[in-house]
Parts: sequence; C-alpha cells; structure tokens
Amino acid sequence: MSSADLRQTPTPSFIADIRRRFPVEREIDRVLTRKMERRSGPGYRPIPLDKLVVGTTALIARSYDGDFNLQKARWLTGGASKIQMAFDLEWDGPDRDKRQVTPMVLRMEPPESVVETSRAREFELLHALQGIVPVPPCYWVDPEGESLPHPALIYGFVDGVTKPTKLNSKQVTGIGLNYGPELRPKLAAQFLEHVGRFHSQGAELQAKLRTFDSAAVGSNSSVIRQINWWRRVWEEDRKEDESLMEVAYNWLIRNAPPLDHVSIVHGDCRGGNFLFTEHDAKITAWLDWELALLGDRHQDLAWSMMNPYRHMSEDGKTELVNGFLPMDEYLATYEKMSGLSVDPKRLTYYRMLCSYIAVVICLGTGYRVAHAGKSHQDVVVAWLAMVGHNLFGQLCSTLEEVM
Amino acid sequence: MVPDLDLQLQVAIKALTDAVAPAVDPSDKVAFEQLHLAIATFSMVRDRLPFARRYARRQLEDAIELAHALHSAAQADSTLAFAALDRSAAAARMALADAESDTHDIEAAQDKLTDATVAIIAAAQNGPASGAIDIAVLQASAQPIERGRAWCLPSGFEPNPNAIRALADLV
Repeated sequence: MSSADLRQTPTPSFIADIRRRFPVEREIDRVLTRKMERRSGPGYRPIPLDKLVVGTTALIARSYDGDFNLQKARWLTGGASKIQMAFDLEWDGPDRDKRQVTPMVLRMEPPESVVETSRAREFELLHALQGIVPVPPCYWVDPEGESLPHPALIYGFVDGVTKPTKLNSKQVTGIGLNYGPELRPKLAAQFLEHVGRFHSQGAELQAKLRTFDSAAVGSNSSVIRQINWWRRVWEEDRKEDESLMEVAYNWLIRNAPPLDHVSIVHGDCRGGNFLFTEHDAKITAWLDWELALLGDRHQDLAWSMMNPYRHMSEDGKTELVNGFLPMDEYLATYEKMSGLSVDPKRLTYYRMLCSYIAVVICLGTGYRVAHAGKSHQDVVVAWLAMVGHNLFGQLCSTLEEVM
Repeated sequence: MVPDLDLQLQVAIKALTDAVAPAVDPSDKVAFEQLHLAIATFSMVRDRLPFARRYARRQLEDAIELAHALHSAAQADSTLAFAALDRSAAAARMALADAESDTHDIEAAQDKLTDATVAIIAAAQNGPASGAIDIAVLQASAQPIERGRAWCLPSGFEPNPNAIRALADLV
C-alpha cells in the first residue's frame, strides 16, 4: 500500500504515530484524531434542508425548554469550509421574557473541511468576545454532532455583507477583495482598531477559554504547539511531500520566538472575514474564528499581509496590504490604535509561519478533502487549492530573506 | 481519435454554458456558484491537458537535479546515508528515459524521489551539513514553484500575473 493510500485509509498505528511525533493542543488533538478515525468513512452526501431543520430543532430542545418554532430555513453561501443554513426562530428569547422572531444561522461541518476545527472552541470564544469586538451572539453548540449529522453551532444572523454588492468579483473566497476607494479608509480604520482590541486581550480571557491550552509570556511552547499542529495536518492530508516544507518546518522550530504578550489571535484575520453594512460602512460582526488561539499578535498581522490579500491602488502605483493601506501606514495605524508594538523580526517569523500554514491548508488539506469527496463544495476547495502555489512562492521568498 | 479529448471537453463546456447555466436559478447561490466553477475547471483542464506530461517531466528533472545537488551539499556530514535517494534517483531517470511512462508513472517516480530527499533533509538536521542542504533545497525550489504558479494562472489567484512566465516557456 502506498503512503498516499495510507493517508486515505489510515491505520490506528499511523494515527498514533503522527500524534506522538507532533503534540498539539488537547482540543486540536481531539478534532484531528476524530478526522483521521473517520477518514476512510463515507464522503459528503447532500443533506436535505428538512433534515437539518429536524436536527436543529433537536439541538435547541436539548437545552431550551420553552415553546419555539423554526421558520424560513434556507441555504447560505460564503466561505469554503462549513455548511450554513439560515432560519428564523420564533421563541421567547434567551431570557424567556418576550415572544420574538430571531434570525439565526446554523454552521455545521461537512465530513471533512479545508480546515478541521472545533465548534466547541468557536462557541466558547464567541461568548468570550461579546462586548470586546462585534461578533454574532452565539446560542447553542453540538460539539460531537449528536443532534445534527455533524458538529455544529447556532448563532444569531447579523446584518451586513462581506464584500461590496457592486463589486464584480469572480473569486469564491475573500481572496483579491477590493473594497474600492470610498469604503476602504472607513473599513481600514475600524479593522485595525478592532484587531488591536482583541490583541490586547488574551491573558484576561484565558480563564474563560477552557478548550484552549494556555500560552505564557517568555515561553515559545505555544508557538511550537502551533507549528506541530500544521505539520501534523501536512502529514495527515498531503498527497505528496515537498522538500521545501521540511526545510521550512525545521527553520520554524529552530527560530520560534517566546511570546512578549499573550493575544487572542483570530487566525484568519483579513478582509472578507467580517460583515459590514454598506449604508454606513460599519463593521457589524467578525466571522470565522475557527482558527483562533492564544498566541502572538504578529501572526494576525502577517496573515493579513499575505500576497493573495493585496492589490494595487486605483492609480496602479501603491500596493495595498490587506486591500487597505500601504505597508508602513498599515503597521503604523495598527500600533497607534492598539497601543501594541510591531517587532519587525517577529513579523518576519510569522510571515514564514503563515505561509507554511497556508500551504498546508491549500496544497495539503485542499487536495485531501476534494480527493475524498468529503465536502459540500469540493469544486470550490479544489479551485482554492490552486492559490497554494502562489503561497508556496511566498514561503520560498521569505525563506530566502531569513536564511 | 474522434472524438478527441479536447473536443469532448469543448462540447461539455458549451453545453454547460449555453444550455445548463441559463436554466439554473441565480438565487440558488450554491448551484450557481458551483456550476460556474465547474465550467471554469473544465476550461482550465482543456487548456492545460496538452502540457500535462511535459509538466510532470520537467518537475521530475528538477527533483533529480536536487537529489544530485544534495550529494555536494552533504559533504560535511559523512553519517548521511544516500543509498535510498540514489535508488530513487536512478528509478526516476529510468522513468524519464522510458517512452512508455505515462504522466502517472512520472509523478509516482517523483513522489518516491521527494520522499527520499525529505528523509535526507530530516536526517541532516542539526548536523554539520544542514545549512548547506537547506540552501541547496531553497535554490532548487524556485523553478518548480514558478512552474506550479504558471500552471495555475487561469485561477486568477496571482496578484501580479505578469510576473510569472508563461507555462509554455517553463515546460
């Protein structure tokens, strides 16, 4: 049996060996092990909307004993990762004090997705971030998929769009997003101000985040854990190995810097991962917290600065980082708004780490999910995998800088 | 061969574009999005199919060159065992020399050679040759990466597509 086949039908010893070689956070270990134990199982089969309504009803009834009724269930698109169903819930509200109709969203995993993450973590973090930055209110979670076909959570529907409705974008994700000259400065300022707010948190929120392993100033163990997370995913998912990925991994381990501050790191921090209302250009909700962790703020900055999230200004002269601002202005605005410093050396380190993570996701997991037919949009995932080659180029040029 | 693969892809794309796409309700965003990506995927396959075997051969040639470069880079470390890498490189050369090798055979030879290469890199870590080996890998990576980016240009993910040479120039 070839090594590629072994990844498709992993044996218990194959799974155990990878777990031993690359220790990760406890909850990350749980979801990745679960993924591998189910790898040889069935792929995604279309799930009728009414089946999701039944499952959602069962999930709500487990912890809500009042009278309620689901209405207007419909599919939602967006992102390349999770299955989403919008619906209206007629109920007496979370405090059971007033009959009301609340628009909600069910966010459920497919059998495997382009990032395998924990709904329990996402649920916990969304609760912890209430009042810090705008996030959707989060109501119920099914971390093991007991009521629904797969793990899921239910949160409140928030008004807004992820990209301007007038934008004629053919891309299926937030990649290459151009907000245009009117919206850009208004959204840029809010974006960086909000990022500063959750980066300032971390130590303060650790106690509320029970599914997150802790991180400490002066230690690089949380960084090593994260490198191992993605090396583990590379070993579990890839079709073929890449020599440069081995070199990159070794460099990342050798040079992992101790934290100078513990932040909430979003993990997929960029344009396209927040909602805004077009009439007033106001950010109404930050989305997609599934990759969040306790770590170094430079990771989010480096992620948002990656090549695919840049574009040129209208005059064709200036490159706009994250579709917002020229590099120097972007970092200076962040420092001013967050009160946190940007260390160029750390930023370079996290540029390397982010490139490594992005290549793992696109060229490793992107291949595996589509190959095994595990998601509701394999054609999207396979298309997205192609950005991996640009990211691989980014990894190569960053390594050239540091070696 | 009639109908040839190019013709079959051409008619499938035409059917999806002219007959199926207008019948899909644009408000069904999942179906609409996936149909248009399916058309884009077929179109890309049609465009890239003639290059596939040459692409695989060039990638394998680059992998063989890297295997050769590792020998020089590893001179400072006599503990490294090259037998598996040498066997894989020899098999890769045979796959290239064999006119009957199809794209899959060439890719399989590359996978084995890369596995052996990665094993050398891992074994060299923290040893006296690790720096030289890392640099050899880095230098050997630029061309195959550019080829991969050129292959994927139709995806539209390159922020500056003019910076990438045309695939025809790289295979």
